[in-house]
Amino acid sequence: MIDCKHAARLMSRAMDDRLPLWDRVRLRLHLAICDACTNARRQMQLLRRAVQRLV
Amino acid sequence: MPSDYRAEIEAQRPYLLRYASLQLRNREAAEDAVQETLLAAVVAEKSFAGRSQLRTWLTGILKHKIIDSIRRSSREQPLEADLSPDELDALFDASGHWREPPQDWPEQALEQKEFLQTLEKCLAALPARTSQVFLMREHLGFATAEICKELGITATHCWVLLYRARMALRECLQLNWFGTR
Repeated sequence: MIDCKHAARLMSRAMDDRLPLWDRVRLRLHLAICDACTNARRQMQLLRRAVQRLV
Repeated sequence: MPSDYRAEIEAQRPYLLRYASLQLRNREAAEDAVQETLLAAVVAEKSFAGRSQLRTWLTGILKHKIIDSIRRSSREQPLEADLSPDELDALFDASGHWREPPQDWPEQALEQKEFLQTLEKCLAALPARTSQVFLMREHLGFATAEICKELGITATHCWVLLYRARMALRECLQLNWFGTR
């Protein structure tokens, strides 16, 4: 089982490149039980949409 | 050459300068990139021929000029190769849990001009290179492989910088926007 610190790094990386299968599985398992990380992931996605609106 | 074409191009200068300043930070470099773009647009008038919106077309040219500028400056001043475990680790406790669990941010923020202004301030507070890599990825829309190539850094370094940027920006927005509402 990975912790939130590890999950946060994987979430960010998953926004840029395809994660290796094992990391995808571990991340999905973690997100299924962690509201904080699920929120963090939504925040990073909102951040992406916000940056696209700049200028 | 019809002078109204030149006038239309010139009218886009403030927008282009804002766009370039976001990416380059350095006012002089941003002005140079815009100037080169406007010159290229004058020369290439025929290839424009109203196929797309003038602003979209000019922004496309500007992106290339911005990348040229980033490439030049990264040659002069290579990226700091600092990959040490950083201050962001302080966001987590010893067992790897969030010290301050992230909240559910309301989507309506995206519609608010002041929110986007706060985001720009948060971007300006990032270390220059971190913000540059982040904006190449999220604003110019480059793949990480292209960013690595342009800046001469490894994929791992790229992921670390992007992670740092995202975490610092969400901290900054929590503190200066969502936490105050």
